[in-house]
Amino acid sequence: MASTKFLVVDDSLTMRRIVINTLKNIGFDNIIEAVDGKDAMAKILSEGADFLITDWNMPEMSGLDLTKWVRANDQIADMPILMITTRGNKEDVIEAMKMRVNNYIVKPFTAPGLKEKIDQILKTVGTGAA
Amino acid sequence: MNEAEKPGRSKTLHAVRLRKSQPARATLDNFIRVVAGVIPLLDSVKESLEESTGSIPKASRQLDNVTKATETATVEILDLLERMSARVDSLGATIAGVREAVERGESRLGAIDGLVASLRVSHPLLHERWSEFRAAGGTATLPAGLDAEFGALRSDVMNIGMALQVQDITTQQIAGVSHTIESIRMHLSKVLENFNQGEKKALSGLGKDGPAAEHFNGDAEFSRSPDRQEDADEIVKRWNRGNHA
Repeated sequence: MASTKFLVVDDSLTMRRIVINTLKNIGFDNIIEAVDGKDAMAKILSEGADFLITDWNMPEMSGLDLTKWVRANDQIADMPILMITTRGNKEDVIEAMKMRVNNYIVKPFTAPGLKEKIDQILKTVGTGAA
Repeated sequence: MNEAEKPGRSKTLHAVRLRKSQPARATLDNFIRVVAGVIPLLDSVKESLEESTGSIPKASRQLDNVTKATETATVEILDLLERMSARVDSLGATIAGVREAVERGESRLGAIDGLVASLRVSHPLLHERWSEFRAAGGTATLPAGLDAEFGALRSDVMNIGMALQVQDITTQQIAGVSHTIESIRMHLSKVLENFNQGEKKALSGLGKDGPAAEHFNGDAEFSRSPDRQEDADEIVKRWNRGNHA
């Protein structure tokens, strides 16, 4: 678990720092970051990642489009994806689930909340369940 | 010879024509008066529109500056928090070291307790002084509540960091306002084109189109209530159970 490589994607420098610091505080220190979906695609292809944590609204390429791209790419289609976004409407959550994100966090998030979601996803991925 | 000079029937006809045209002329005169009154009003409206469209880019820039300033300040705070966090970690390591030393010391004192107890009969004074020493606080312990205080400090540092999410959320709200202002500017510009007879007059300060709508969520909220997350969790749970309604 500690060696899981996280890719944190958010166009806000503040949010990237907060997510990364929180990940470190809960025991994950193998982390890279990207400023939007397009940058994330490039990082996945060049550096690889085991777990994607992404915002939704971003320039160049949204988190939703990034998710779509990951799921359409055989080699990385099963990558765990956690969306962290300010969008909290029912329609938004459903749209994200349709794109097959593994879980969804509404900002502002809490450290225990983030840990819980990551643990749930890792457990599910570990068992191979959907 | 004009109408007025024609004799008899023509004179009457002329009078009739004059009488019939008087209301129309009055109406026309009124209309001309109204239009003459409206023109300065329209000029004034056009002036206001030009002024407004001129001020909007400045408002957008000011909002931009607010966003940049809050991001700069937030990043500074995050830098400080990271240094504080490192110091807290270091303090934690120091406390752990002291605890270890205290436990070793206490263990040695415990051994001496046993030894002195065995000398109670042969060395009563030694036993008495040692007991006094131990009763007067001659023990090695860490202050009560230190662990709790340290845990609280660590938690506070983390919570300050988490609260800074407000900067991202307010940035998106401001982007929403900027976008609305920019839309208004575009509408006003179109109205101005009509005044300028279709000519797309270059207005000062233009050039900033504002953020595209999909780059931000203008409805972003900074709310501590767990409701929104609980609602999202419920939807995710139901979706994973196969309920896609």
